[in-house]
Amino acid sequence: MMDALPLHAMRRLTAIIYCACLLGGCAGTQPPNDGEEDDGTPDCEPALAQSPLRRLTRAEYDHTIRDLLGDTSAQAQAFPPDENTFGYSVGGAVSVLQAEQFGEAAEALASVASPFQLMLPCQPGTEGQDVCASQFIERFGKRAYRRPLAGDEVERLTALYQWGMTEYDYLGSLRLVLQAILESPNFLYRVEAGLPAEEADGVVPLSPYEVASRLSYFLWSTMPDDELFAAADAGTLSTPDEIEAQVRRMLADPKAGDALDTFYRQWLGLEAVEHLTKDPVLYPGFTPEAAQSMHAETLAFARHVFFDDDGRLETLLRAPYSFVDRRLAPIYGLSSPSETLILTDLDPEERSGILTQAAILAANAKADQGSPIHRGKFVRERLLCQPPPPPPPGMAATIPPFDPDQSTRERFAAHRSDAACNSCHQLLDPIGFGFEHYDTIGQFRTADGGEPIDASGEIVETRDVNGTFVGAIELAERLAGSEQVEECVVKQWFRYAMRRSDTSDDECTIAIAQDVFNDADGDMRELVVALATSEAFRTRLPVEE
Amino acid sequence: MRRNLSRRRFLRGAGAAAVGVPFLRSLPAFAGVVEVPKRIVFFFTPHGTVKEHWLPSGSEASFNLGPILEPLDAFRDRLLILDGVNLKSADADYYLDQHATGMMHVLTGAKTVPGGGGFGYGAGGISVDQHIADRIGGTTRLKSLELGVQTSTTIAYESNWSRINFRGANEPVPPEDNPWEVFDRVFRDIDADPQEIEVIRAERRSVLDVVHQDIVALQARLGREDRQLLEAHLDSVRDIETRIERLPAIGKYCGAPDIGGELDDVQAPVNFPEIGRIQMDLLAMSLACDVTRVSTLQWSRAVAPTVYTWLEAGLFDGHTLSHYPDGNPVWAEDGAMTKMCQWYGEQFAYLLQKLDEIPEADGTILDHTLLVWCNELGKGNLHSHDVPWVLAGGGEGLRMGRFLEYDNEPHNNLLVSLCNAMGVPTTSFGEEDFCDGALNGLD
Repeated sequence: MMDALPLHAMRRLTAIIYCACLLGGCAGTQPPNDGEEDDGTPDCEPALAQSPLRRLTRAEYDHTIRDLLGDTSAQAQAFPPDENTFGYSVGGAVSVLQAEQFGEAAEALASVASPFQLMLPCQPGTEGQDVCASQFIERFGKRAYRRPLAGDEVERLTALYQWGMTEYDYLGSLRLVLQAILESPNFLYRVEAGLPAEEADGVVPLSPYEVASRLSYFLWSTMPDDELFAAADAGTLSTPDEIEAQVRRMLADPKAGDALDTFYRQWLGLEAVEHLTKDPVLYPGFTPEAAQSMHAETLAFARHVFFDDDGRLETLLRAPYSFVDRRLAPIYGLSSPSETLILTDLDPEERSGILTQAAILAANAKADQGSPIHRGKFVRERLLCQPPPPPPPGMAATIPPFDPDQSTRERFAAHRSDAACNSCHQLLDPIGFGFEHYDTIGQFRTADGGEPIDASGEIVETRDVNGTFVGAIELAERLAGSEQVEECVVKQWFRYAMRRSDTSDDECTIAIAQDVFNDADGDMRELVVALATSEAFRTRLPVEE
Repeated sequence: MRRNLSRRRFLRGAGAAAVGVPFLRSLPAFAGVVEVPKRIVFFFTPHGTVKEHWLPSGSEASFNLGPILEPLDAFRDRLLILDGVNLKSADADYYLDQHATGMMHVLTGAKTVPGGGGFGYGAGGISVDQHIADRIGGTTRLKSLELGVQTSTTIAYESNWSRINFRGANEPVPPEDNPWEVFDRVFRDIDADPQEIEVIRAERRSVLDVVHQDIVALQARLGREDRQLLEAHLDSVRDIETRIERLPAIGKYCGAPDIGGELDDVQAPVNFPEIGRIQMDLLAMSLACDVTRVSTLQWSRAVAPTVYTWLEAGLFDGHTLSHYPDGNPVWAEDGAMTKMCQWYGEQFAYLLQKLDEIPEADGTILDHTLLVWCNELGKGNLHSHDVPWVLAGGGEGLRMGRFLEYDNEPHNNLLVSLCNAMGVPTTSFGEEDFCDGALNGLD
């Protein structure tokens, strides 16, 4: 279902993009091809893909209900967790429990919806109940299904209303209709059937309503607003220019922050911070409240970079400031009485963007010690898009226990002396050693195991950032200048925008977006515009029988 | 009479008042399940074990339990302890993380397929519990009941590391981690006025009828894979539709357990033991009430960050412990890894005890329930799949009270035997290459 199909045979890429698959075997890993110089717009044809059904994730469900009913009781938080594809949430197959919970939530929501929402603007007293009911079905139904209803859909809901009228009062019958709407697959899934193909080349443009939903779930993590519906009604959501105007409007709306949070939580794996436990004797400052602040810090920082600063990837990776409250202040060697997170300048010799933030450092560490393996893996997976393969079965996979008399580097060096382990761990640990200045909760330190810190590290097997470095500050600087990192960030946004993993068929779409991103000096806002206006975002392949 | 539609289900938070109210007072006078049912319960714990402290010593029928299984001593003549029954099909899936393959294979025995899991692969087929539930679960209110204890602490690669039950390829069945949701689901309806239940049923039927038709209409417009996804949804809707027609059969000893007020955060590590105990109480009562005959209780998940703080055996998460090198004190008899496994042994014993306290026919519910304790690994620091199986209770053709050592038998054969023990005739399960019929020697 996730696979895209090639449409155009002609695909010559200037920048070769290696696949999101595992680095096979590790020993003898192929370094990615350098490709040709990037000399302008990539000379390739974007391939189109099938457009699988996408069920609303828990967050999307709650945001959508908020916009439909003004109800923020977050029913979906009681649903089973979403499935996950390459780190990004998707709604999976619906189990019995899930179907029951859709029913429970629909019943609960239908019972609390205000009569005001159910009846306006129709007056059943003067205009007649049946007239008002059919207005409700058409108007509310359109917002809930995010498109006008088909005739058979109206008929089914009308029949339900009529049955309801034999059992309940008018309002009760409308509640029953609302319940059915909220349990319908037309509400729960995003369906993209597309318009009839216009051209012989089989390109199927998405309908204006489908484009509106793609935009709203990408940029707002919720349903379209009135203006998007109006644009869809008027048929002005087809050309890249029309879409771009909407995208820029949408990015200026506060709801864009919801989508940004969702993206960063998933890209950076921030959920892991929520239930972390650290050794309370060694790290008394690490409390559940501090963990919450860490999580909130990185999101506040990411929002600030995107909306208030220059939006650039380099700023995300190198900004010498962050957001600090009184729980985080000790971790950053500061004193602050602030209950809330406030923009705070940090020591640029110690801190540089997301890589040195407490959430990332603590999540990629053990309860009692930092883990160069996991910190290296974080960079390799999430910034270089090279997830390492797992250890083969039966091979010893051990973690050196904490020992206060040895440095982390010494403990983990022993683990790397085994050639079989090292063939893969050379990809991870030497990057992770660059973080040695940070303990398991992200505090800066100058000594470990009685020795001064040695934070020298090395990156291998990349397209353009191979080499040695010292410390996370230099690492961040190097990564910020890398085209491989730039391309990886494009892929991460692509996966989030499309709710599927990228395949080799998506290389051209990604290369074009990267080109825009690069021209815009790494401004992620321009990258978002480029993805939202790309051909892949506006079209699909014909439905496969 | 036209009424304003009233609801018993309120938004979460408001419903907690009902918790702990026994519903027996409003039960119909009839009592008793006519026929003693067969039941099966899967009990999953993660991170492998410490084999030298898990293995019994002695012979097949005369053995002493090691420290990890020692909490089960009172039930020794109702156990079947199996060593050497390995997830060979998972070993063959070596290109994936071995924790993940363990999860996806332990109850399926099926090769993973491309799909939605975090690694780009999902489980390859139906799990044995669902296979059995499809055949023996048709008369109970729930065909199967999946309970979890913090199975969904969030990290990437959700279903690959956190699911063991599957309806089919790429169709994980997520367990319910919140006991108060389970309570609502299992015991709520029974306390209501029968007339009101009838009204609500009629209403649900009407709504589900629209949903059903909407799904079918949508399927007609979509491609094969989307149709398949919606077919899974439709199956779930059908299950609920037919359930509406089924009356709950209430056992003589059925009664809602008092589970106390809802905890703030069911995923907080500090609540782990309490959540587990409540889930076991609910599970025992679900069987006593014949709400279901097939159940899974999944503790935690592979690669979970949960730290077993209540054990005072060192502050480590179970996954990290399981990756400590051989010779480290955590593997010793009083070491943290052994203690963690032993603690799970105590939990298993608690569940057996609960079931053994509920009389049924001329014995107890435990006599008519087969419990299967499984794991995704054998030894964490090797990522090996020599799972430490413990069967308990009873099942058709199983001679309990024994410790059996096998020589690298594929676990698919055991899955076949479990089907047969439930009266579900089966000759092969999961990947055929790793299955040559039932496991020998269980009878």
